[in-house]
This record gives sequence, C-alpha cells and structure tokens, in this order.
Amino acid sequence: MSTHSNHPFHLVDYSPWPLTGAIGAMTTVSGMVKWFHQYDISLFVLGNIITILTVYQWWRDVSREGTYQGLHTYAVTIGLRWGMILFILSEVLFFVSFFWAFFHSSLSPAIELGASWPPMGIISFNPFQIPLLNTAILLASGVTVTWAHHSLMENNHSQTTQGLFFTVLLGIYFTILQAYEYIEAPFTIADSIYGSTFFMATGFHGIHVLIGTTFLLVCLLRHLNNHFSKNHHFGFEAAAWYWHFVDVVWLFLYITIYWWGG
Amino acid sequence: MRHLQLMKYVNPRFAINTVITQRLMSKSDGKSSGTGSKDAKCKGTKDAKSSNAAKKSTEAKAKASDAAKKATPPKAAKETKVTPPKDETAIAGGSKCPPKVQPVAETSKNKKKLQSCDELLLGKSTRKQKKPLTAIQGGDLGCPGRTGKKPQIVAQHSKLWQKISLFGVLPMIAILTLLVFSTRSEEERLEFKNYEHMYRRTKRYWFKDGNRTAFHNSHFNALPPAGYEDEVDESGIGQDPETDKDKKARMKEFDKVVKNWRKHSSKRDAQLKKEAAAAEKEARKQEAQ
Repeated sequence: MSTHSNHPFHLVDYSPWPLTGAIGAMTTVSGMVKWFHQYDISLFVLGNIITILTVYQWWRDVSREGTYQGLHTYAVTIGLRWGMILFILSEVLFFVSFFWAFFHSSLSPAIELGASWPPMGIISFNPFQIPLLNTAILLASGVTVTWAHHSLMENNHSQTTQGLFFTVLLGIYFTILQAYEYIEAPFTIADSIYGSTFFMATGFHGIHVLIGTTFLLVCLLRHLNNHFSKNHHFGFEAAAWYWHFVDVVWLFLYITIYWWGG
Repeated sequence: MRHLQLMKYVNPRFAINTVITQRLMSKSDGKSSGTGSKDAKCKGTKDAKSSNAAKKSTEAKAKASDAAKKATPPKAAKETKVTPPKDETAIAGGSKCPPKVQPVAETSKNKKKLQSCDELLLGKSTRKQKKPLTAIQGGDLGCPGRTGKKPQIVAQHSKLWQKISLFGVLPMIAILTLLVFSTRSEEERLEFKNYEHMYRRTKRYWFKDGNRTAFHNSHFNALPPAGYEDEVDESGIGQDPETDKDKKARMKEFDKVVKNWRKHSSKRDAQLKKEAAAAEKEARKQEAQ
C-alpha cells in the first residue's frame, strides 16, 4: 500500500487479535472460577496461553506497522504515548490498593496481633541487607536505561546495545535476589495480615519486574534488528517509562514495608 | 454700568441687556486670561515685552466690543454680541499651538509602529512551527515528543551516562553485593506458639501436599498445629487429634511393646551373664596352663 494519505491517522486493518484477546480473557477468568472451586488449574492455564499468544502476535503486528509500513505518523505516536501514560496510571492505582491495605493494618494493629507491628510471632527482614542491595540494583538499572536512551538519540548503536544489556541483566539479578529472600523468609503468606500484605505487594512488584525485564529484552532484540532510529523509537521509550515506574514503586515498597514496617 | 442699572426701573427691556452684558464681560475676562496662559505656554522662549503687548491688544479688543454693544439697537445687539468672542479666541489659539502638539503624536505613533514591527519580527522567529501531522516519523525530522526545534544532540550526553554507569553504578553494585553477603548471618527462629492470627489454614492449598505454602522453608516456617517440622513427627501434621478410644488402643499397644521389651531385656541379661562366666573360666584355664 502507498504511504501517501491526505490525513495523519492510522485506519487499522482487519485483525483477529481483539477477538482472540477477548476469548483468552474469558477463558482465564472462567479458569479462575474452576481453579477456586475444583482445585483444577487447567482452564486457567489454557486462558493464559491464549492471551500470551494473542499479545505476542498483536504487538508483532504493531511493530511491523510502525517499523516497516511507516504507518506511525506523529499523530499516531501521540496516541500511543497517551495510551502508555494511561496504562502506567492504572498500574499506579493498582499498587495504591496494596499500600492502602498495608497502611490500614500497620497504622493501627488489632489487639489480637498484640497491638504491635510487626505482629507477635513475626520476624521481619533486615532492611539493610539484601533489600538495600535490591534498591541499589534498581536505581542502577535506571541509570543504565538512561544511558541506552541517550545513546539511541545520538544514533550510537553499540552503546545502546550495552546499556540495554546491562539493564536486562540487573533486572534478572533483582529477581534472583528477591526469590532468595522469599525462600529464606521467616514468615509465609499465611502468617497474619503482615505476611499477606507483604507477599501481595512484593509479589506483584516482582511480577512487574519480570514484565518490565521482558519488555526491555524485546526492545534489545528489536534494536539488534535495527528497528529503531534516533527519531522514531517509541517502543523503547515506553519500556523505559515502564521501567522507571517499576523502580519508583520499589522505592515506596522499600521505605514503607521493609524499612518503616519492618 | 450705573446707567444701565438705573434704566432697569425705567424700562424693562434694558434689564435684559444688562444681564447679557454681564455674562459677556465675565466670559471675555476668562477668555483673555486663557489666551494669555496659552500664549505663555506656546511661546516659552519669548520676552516679557511681547506678553505685555499681547495683554494690551486683548484690552483694546475688549474696548472695541463694548463700543459696538452701546451703539447697536437691542435685537441687532443680540446677534452681533455673541459671534465676535468665539472668532477671536479660535484664531488666536489655533494658529499657534498645533505645530508643537502634532509632532509628539506622530513620534509616538511611529514608535508604536516600530515596536509592533519588532514584535512581529521576533514573534516569527520565536513562534513554534508545528510539524505537519501527515509527516511520517523517521529520517531527518525532529523527535516525535518535541515540537519545533530539533533537539541539539551533543555526544557528551551518552558519554556522561556511560561513565556514570560503568565507573560509578556497576562497581557500586559489586561492592554492595560483597558487603551484603559477607556480613550476612543466619538468624535464629522464634519459639513456636500457635497464635490465632498465625499459620492460617482455611482451605488446603492446590499445590504440593495442601499444607505447605509455595515458598515453604522447613527450618523457618512452622506448620499448624504442631510447629516446626524438625521438632515433631511429620506424619501427624495436619491430622485431627486422637480420640480416647484411639488413645487407649495406642496405650495397649505400647504396653505390649513394653512387656516384650522387658522379656527380651531379661533374657539378654541372662545370656550376657553366661557369656561372662564362660569367658572367666577360659581365662582361668589359660592361667593354669
């Protein structure tokens, strides 16, 4: 098709992905019902598989539209930016609910818990051991992703590769240390409201670190395939925004749950 | 003036004349003073003599007007009395003042025009030229996130961040890793107490044996209702407490075991004694030999 048009917008082609995405979401939530009532996770897993296949191919098509077909004009890019901003806003509100639950319990602990926080029977983590190291790791990954971004804007391919590589490496290192902390934890998710809120907040943050690391890894692969130019690299910028968001959430987690609440 | 006042009582027509004359006198006085001040303002550089001459001329004009008033009849006097003062003042003021005032206005207008021109010129240069929306991203066009100017990309930015990353941040990570893992020590676990808010089990888990969490640690995580795994019999964890019947049965079995143990122990003791005696006999024989 010709790239000439008398309007700046992207009239999307026919695509099966919205339909298969809806099927995947429905299968996932039906699978949750089956899981909770019948102790069977097969339908839930099937729903997740359908969703993963859908998002992979949907984003593959978006990359093709933007990189090879030239359909991402300035107006389209503005729309993508607002989409990403609103998504990150919804993630912020998602984590607000976990912090709300934590503060609800920690600011006025019940008499059954011993009227103290952490509750009786709980030993909390030392915040100046592995949690402090994890904080340094995420802050460092923020610096390396900024290095990659500046290199990309200066048309420096090798420096961008190095910056992205180090960022992904630090994300994986964070995940390894967090898993080690989980294994060595002196409390479980079933140990009072402390264990529940701790593992919910840090668990979802850990999942978001995995998602962000995957996002950056995909950007690294696209960069190695020369998808980005110094002027047109919104996929990378979205990954960087998301990574900075994950970093900031960890700072709040560290200060409130590990340090103050420990 | 006195004649006119006396004429009031004789003939009412002259009363009207007196009123008109008084008004004209007051007006003429004001105008004469006004013209004098205007002249002074306009002719700031002139001498005092010229100002005196102007005053004399105004006085002469006033006298002439008075003479005209006396001579004319009443109707004709009305018409002629009104027109002369206006003409005099208009001629005197108009011819002198405009040359000084107009240039100021013209200069101010010119300045305004010049300012507006400057603003227009500056506005053109400072105004942000928006990119056409149909422009396809890429090539030599500006960054999508910035309108107008292309960002001045300086190579120092990436070099700066490279130095911060490689020589500042990554070594810090390595040092912190060494510090953390070298000073790490194993913590002691708390004594087990079956609090109501701890070790919650409302349903069995859907993974493993249904009683252990996903990240279960056998040393640090206790299991309800018994406690830590290495302190209790694992096979009894999670089961219901035994009933009295079960306890009696268990005690019966225990008693049987105890009886058997005692029998075997007594037999074993006797056997040991025999063996000891036999050993002594052999020892004595060897000594005799």
